[in-house]
Amino acid sequence: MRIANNTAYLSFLRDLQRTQESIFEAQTQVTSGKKVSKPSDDPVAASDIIRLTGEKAESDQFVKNIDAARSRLGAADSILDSVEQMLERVQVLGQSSLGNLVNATAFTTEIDGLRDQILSAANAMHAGRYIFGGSVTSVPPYQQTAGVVSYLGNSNAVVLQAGRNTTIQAQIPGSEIFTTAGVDVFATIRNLSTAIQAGNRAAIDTELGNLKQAWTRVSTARTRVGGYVNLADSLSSQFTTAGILRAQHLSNVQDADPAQSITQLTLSQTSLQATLAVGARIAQMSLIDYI
Amino acid sequence: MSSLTAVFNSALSSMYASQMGMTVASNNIANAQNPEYTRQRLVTAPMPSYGGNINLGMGIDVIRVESLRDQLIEARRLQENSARAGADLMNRTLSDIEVQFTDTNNTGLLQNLANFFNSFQTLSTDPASTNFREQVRISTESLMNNFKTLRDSLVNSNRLINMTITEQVNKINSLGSQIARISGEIASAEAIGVQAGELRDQRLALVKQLSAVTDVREQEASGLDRTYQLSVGDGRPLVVGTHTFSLSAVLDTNGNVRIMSSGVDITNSFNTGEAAAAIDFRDNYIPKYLNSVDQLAYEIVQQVNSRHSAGYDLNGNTGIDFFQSLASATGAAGLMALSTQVAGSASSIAASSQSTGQDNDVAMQIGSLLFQPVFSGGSASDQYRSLVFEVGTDVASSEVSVREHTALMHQLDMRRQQMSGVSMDEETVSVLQFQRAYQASAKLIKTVDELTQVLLNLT
Repeated sequence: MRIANNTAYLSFLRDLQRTQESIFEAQTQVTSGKKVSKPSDDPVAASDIIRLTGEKAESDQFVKNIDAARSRLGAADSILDSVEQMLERVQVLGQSSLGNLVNATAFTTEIDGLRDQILSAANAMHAGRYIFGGSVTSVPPYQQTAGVVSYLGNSNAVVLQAGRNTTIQAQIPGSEIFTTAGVDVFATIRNLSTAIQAGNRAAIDTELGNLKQAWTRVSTARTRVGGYVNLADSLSSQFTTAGILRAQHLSNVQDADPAQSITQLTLSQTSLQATLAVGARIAQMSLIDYI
Repeated sequence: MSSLTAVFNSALSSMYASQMGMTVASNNIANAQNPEYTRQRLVTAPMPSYGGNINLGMGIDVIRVESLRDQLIEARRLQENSARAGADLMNRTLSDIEVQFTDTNNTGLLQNLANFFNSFQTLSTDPASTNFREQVRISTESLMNNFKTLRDSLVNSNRLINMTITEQVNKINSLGSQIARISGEIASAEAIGVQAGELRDQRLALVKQLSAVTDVREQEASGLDRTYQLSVGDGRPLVVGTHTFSLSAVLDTNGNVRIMSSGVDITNSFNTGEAAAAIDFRDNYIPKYLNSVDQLAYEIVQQVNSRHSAGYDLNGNTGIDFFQSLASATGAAGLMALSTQVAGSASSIAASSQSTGQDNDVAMQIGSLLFQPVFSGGSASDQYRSLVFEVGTDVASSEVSVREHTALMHQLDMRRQQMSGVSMDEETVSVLQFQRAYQASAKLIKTVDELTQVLLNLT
């Protein structure tokens, strides 16, 4: 093969160019810490990164929804707890009144007071919204007119998205707790109060029976709330675990291995030094030096 | 018949040839660093005798100065240069576009898509909230802005590439007329027997520049009529002899540049080179990306509207579009806008499926569009992902193409150097040879002179 001066120079330039390219590549990985900084670096990885980033945004939102549900359920739980206790007290008062009907007014005063408290508990708010009105959240669900309490809410169970195919119930409408088709807490307590005042033992017995049923409704509702909170907790921890795995996967796809990229950088630098040394030698050699 | 004078003349011809040889070598050395230079060589022949019974050589005859050029390699280099320049332009323009699709740092369309749909999810946690309703409008504005920016950047690329195509046409014409002029000079030099190696080198360098813009084909008739012809694209004549057939750039109804030659539209007749790449990029790549972006925007408008208009707003009204409805996907990314109702009041956002109360069914449905596979390419984020994958693959394959063509070009350059490149050592050797020949001839003249003196002294 005939070697012209440019043969050596052009090859040298090309090698130099290629070595510098690989140094630049390694350098970018070291300084950015990423092996994929634009889609063309690895289209498949870039597509994975988008999927994983999208999934992260998605599950972050699910976690927010779950948290919203949980905080509302937590509020409902503590309210139902106190309602349960108040109903138990009404029960005790009702029982006691049977043996002390002369003091009826003392009993009915307390019972009426408890009824008012339960009414205000049923109209409780969380973060500015009524929580027992179904999807009616802007007006108090229970309104009392001339001693009769009526339900203004609806029977919608409010659910939130807690996964692609999972929803979580965030509240239970009052129509499933206080004023169900069978038992109306407010009417029952009112009737009990009237019966005590009238000294009607039979009626007191009947209303105490109804009261027991009302208590069961509230208690069942509280158990349901607890169940939803448990579901929220378990979903939440699932998302935490999935989030950690996803972050690892994302890092595998996206992040450069520092040891590897620094080694690559060092290798490329060595190669550059060798290329330069050889280039310098080529430039030195000439027949002119020997004649 | 031999004579001392004959020896004298023979030595003189040798000294003359040696000088010329050294001139050629020095010219080679002077141009050694130019990779496009073709080394030259002195072609000589022994001077024939004047006849007689004994054939005695009469010295050296300088025939011509020859350029050592391999036509086949030169032709392959023109092709390869064209392919490489095209790949290079494609890679550069695609890389410009890729920047818009770099979603790696929580910026870009993906994040806005997620924020948009998630704002409906947040609204579903409290459909009566004025703040959450405002958030929906704000995230929608961001999404629409992002779609517009993306579209604008593609439209802008289209505008820039049209300017590039116009510049390419000007370059083709300017190179064409220079080539025609030099061809005229070559023809008139060679008509009177003058070697035109340098002129041919110059023309080749211009043709090489031209080959970066378009595929070219050179044709030089042999025989008496050595008319030079240069055609571009699918054999469209650019130079015939000394005449240039200029191309022209005209705008079509879409504002795109068409390339015309003598009234014929030759836009699609380019196969390699920057012009072919620019036209390919403009007519195939940009429309492909624009369609994808528009399609995604259009489907979002359709999907959101169909759910939204079935829902009820805060005041119990139904049948309200969220986005202004669009007739088709054409230009959708740039035309997206909130409907007048939703733009007028956030309370017109329909989050509920019932006229009374504030249930969250519709907000949830719209929020779920982020991951529900109801779009033509899966979910909204899947569809965007395919677009990014496509852009990434296009850029990556254009990079591979650049690398391949650069490697091939390098090989051809090496082969060219093997034939046509100057070797300093070789030239030094030939300078030494000519120097010695010159010295020897001079010595011969001195010897002949001494012999002549002997003769003169006899008288």
